This record gives sequence, structure tokens and C-alpha cells, in this order.
Amino acid sequence: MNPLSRYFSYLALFASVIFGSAGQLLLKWSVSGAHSLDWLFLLKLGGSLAVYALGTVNWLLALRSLKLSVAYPLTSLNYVVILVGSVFIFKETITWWQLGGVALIFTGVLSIALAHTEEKVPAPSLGRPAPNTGQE
Amino acid sequence: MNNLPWLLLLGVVLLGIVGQLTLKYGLQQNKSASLVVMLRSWPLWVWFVCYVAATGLWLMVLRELPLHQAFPALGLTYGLIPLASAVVLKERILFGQWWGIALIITGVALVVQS
Repeated sequence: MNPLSRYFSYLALFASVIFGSAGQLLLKWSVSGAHSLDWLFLLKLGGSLAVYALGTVNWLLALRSLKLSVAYPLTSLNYVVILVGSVFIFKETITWWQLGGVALIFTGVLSIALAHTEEKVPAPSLGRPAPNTGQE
Repeated sequence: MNNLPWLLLLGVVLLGIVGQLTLKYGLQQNKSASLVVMLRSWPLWVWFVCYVAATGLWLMVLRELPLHQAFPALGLTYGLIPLASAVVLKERILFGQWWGIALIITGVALVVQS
């Protein structure tokens, strides 16, 4: 893969996280104040879904050349972006227990994603020899 | 705490799991199928119906629950799919996955506390 195309793949990967998270935040905004199925609500909903769809398109563009084992762990960044958005945009109050819970879920999703990495590509990018995990 | 939105959220998770498993099962059955053949296979339609229903339920959930609780709790799907794949599709669960599954379930239990 030439350097330019690799650069665009990573750009698409980050765009997919940003658009995906922004889509969820916008969806929340659309449905929060909605009490009737009027045009304004449908417009907001359609716009939010379109932003979310941009995230999906970028995800597919990224997957065309990046390995799933590289791309998939980065999707756990969604939890971070959405948490920051919930607190700073929607002023939701979050307890320490909940914050701990989100941290556990983030780590858990990352572990599941990286478990596949271990099996398929033995971490060449980290510059250390692949550990023998005794699986396979 | 009103329980209905949480039940709906559980519905989103279950629909997600059923949809993904069915899709994977369908794609395993005929690996080299053309688009036309795929469009006529039932697993693809089950996945599609699950996907649409889950999106509808998700919007109802978002209306009622704070985003900082609803979105992380949706991560339960990532924890339960390996378990369901092991039972239904006879896939193997890796060591790192057991660890991740346990972390996600504990995390969801914490995040749904009000």
C-alpha cells in the first residue's frame, strides 16, 4: 500500500469515529425534545442519520485497506467521544461508579478486539517479538 | 427508576445479537453467492428486520435514558456476541475475549446504576 493511500485510510478511520459519535449525539438531540412527528423532528432525525451514515461509509473506506485487527480496536474510541459529549453538551450528571463502568466497558471492548489481533497478526507494529500465547 | 426504557435497551441488544448471528450463519452457508442469491436468502432478511427494529427501539431508548448510560450499555452486544457465537455457531472463545466479556458485563452493571 502506498503511503498516500495508507494516510487516507487512517483519515477515513478517524472520520468514521467522529461521524459515528457525532451521529449518536445528534440522534439524542433529535429525539430529546420531540413530542410529535412534525417536519422539524423528521428533518433533525434525517440529518442525524445522514451524519451517522457518513461514519459507516468512512468505516467501509477504511476497511478496504486497513486490517480489521487495526481498525476495530479504534472503534472503542466512540465511548470516549460520546461520554465527553454527554457531559459537556447535554450536561448529564455522571457518577464515579458510572464513569468506572464506562472505563470497564471501553477496556472490555478493546480486549475483545485485541484478542483477535493476537490470533491473526502477532503484533508486528509494536516492534517487539510476538508472545507465545499457547493458543494455536 | 422506570424500567421500560431498560427493557427496550435489552431488546436492542438481543435484536443486535440475533441479527449478527443470523447474518453470519447466512454468509457461511453460501460463501460465493452472488448479490441476487444473497437477496433471496432468508438470513439476510432476518438481519435486515432486526436492524430496522433495533434502530427504532434505540430511538425510543434515547428519548428516555441519558446518553452516557444508554450508549455504553449497548456495548453489552459486544460482550454477548462471542458467547452466542460459541453456543450457536460453535466458534471458539479466546482467552482475551473471556477477559473482555467479564469486563463488559461488570461495566454495564455499574453504568446502569442511577
